[in-house]
Amino acid sequence: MIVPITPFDRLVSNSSIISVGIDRDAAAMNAANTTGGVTNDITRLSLKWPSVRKYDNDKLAFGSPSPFASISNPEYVWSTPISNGQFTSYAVASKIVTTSPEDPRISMNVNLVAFADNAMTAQISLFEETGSMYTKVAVQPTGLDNFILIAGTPNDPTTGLTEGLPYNWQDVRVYSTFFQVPVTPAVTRNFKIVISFGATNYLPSNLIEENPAGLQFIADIYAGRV
Amino acid sequence: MLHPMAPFQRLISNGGTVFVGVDREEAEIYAANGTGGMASAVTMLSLDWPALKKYDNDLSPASPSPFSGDANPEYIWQPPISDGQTRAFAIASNSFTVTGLFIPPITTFERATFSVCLSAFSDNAMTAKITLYEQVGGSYVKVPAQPAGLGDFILVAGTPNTSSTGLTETIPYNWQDIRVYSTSFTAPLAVPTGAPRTFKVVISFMATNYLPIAPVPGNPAGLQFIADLYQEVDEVIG
Repeated sequence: MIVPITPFDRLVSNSSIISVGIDRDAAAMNAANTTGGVTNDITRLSLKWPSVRKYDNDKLAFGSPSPFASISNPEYVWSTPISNGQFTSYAVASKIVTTSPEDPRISMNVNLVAFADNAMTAQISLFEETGSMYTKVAVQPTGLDNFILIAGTPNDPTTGLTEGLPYNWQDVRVYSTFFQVPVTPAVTRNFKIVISFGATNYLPSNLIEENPAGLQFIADIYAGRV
Repeated sequence: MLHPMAPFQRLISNGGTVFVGVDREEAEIYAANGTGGMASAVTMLSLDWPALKKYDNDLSPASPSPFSGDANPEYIWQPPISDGQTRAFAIASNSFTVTGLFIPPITTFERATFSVCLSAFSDNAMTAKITLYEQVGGSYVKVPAQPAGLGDFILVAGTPNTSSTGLTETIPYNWQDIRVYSTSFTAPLAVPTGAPRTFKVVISFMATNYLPIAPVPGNPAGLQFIADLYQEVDEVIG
C-alpha cells in the first residue's frame, strides 16, 4: 500500500550505538552487524567547540510536533586515547528496512548534520542481510553512489600546523540525499542504512597546549512508499 | 498524480532569498508573497562563529545529493546591528498544487507529504517556525489549522525574549549551538470538489542579539540556516 512520507529513524552520536573499526569499512560492517567495539562518549573537551543539538523546547513535554522530539541530544564521541595526528573510524546503523512483495517500492531521505575536530570523511551506505550477516550492497543505489563526503583534509593531519581562525572544526557540515531501496518482485529483503565516518585529529601547532578531538552528529531518516 | 519521494527544495540564508518584517507574521507574509524588504548578507562578523556548510566535495556533478549544485548559506541580518535588538526573518518555498479528480461516484485526491530538516545558527538566540501558507485570491495567507507535524509550534533556542542573558552568559555560549530539527507533514487535500489548492512552506525566525558584557568589544549578530524539503505525492479516495 502507499503511505505518506513517515519518519523512519533518528541516529545520534553516542557510545551506545556507534561502532568503531580499523577503517571506515570495518566500522560500517561492525555497525551493521552489531559486532566489534563501541566508541566512548567524551565531554566537551574544548569549550570553543560548536555543538549540534535540538531546540530547547523540542521535547514531548513542550508539545513539539517533531517525530523525534523524545530523542536525546547527541554526545561528542571519540575512540580514546586521543593522540596527535590520529585517524579513527566510526559507524552507526539504522533499524531494518524490509521490502515485501506487497509493498515493493520504498524511498528513503537521509539528512546528516555533523561536527568533527578536526577533519572527517562521511559515507551513507546501504547494507543487506545475506545469510546471517549484513553486507554492503555491491551496487549502491542512485543517490548514495558509494560517494565519500570530505570535510577538511582528513588524509593530511599536518594541516593543523598552519591552520588559523576560522578553523575547520568550526564548520558543521550539512548533507541530504534520497534513494530507492532495491526491490525484487515476490521476495522479502532486509536492509540497513549505515553512516560511517573517518575522523582525523590534526597535528597541533606548537602554540597550542592541548589538542582535543571529537565527533558529533544527528542523522534523520524519512521513508516514502509510492 | 502519484510521484515517489523526490527532492522539493533546499532553502538557505542569503541576501536574495530572506525577507524581513517588524515581527514574525509580517516577515512570513512578505516571504510568502515576495514583497517587502530583504535581509542583508553579512560577513563572518566573529571569527569564532560556527558555520553551516556543505561537505567540501558536495558539488555537482560528482556528489549524488540533489542539492549538490546549491551554494553554501550566508550569514544574514537586518542592519544596523544594535545591542538587545530582535529581528524577524522568513523564507518561502516554491509553490505546490494539489487537485482532485472526480469520476462519478468517486473523487480521488492528491496527497502531498513532506519531510523538512532545518539546521540553524543564531547569534545570539532565536525562535523558529515552519508554517504552511495557501494561495487565497491573489495572495498567500497562513492556513488556519496547521497540519499535524507543524502544529503552529514555535521552536526556541536560548532566551530570545531576555536579551540580558548576554550580561551573565559564559562560554560555551548559546551561539555555539547549531540547532537541528526535522518533521513531516501532509498538506490539506483539495476537498470537497477537487478544485486545485496551492501552498508554500514558510520558515520564519526571530533572532535576538543579546546585550554585551561591558568588556567585550563589538557585539556581532547573525543568522544562518539550511532547510531541506523532500516531497511525495500519493492519492486517497474521498
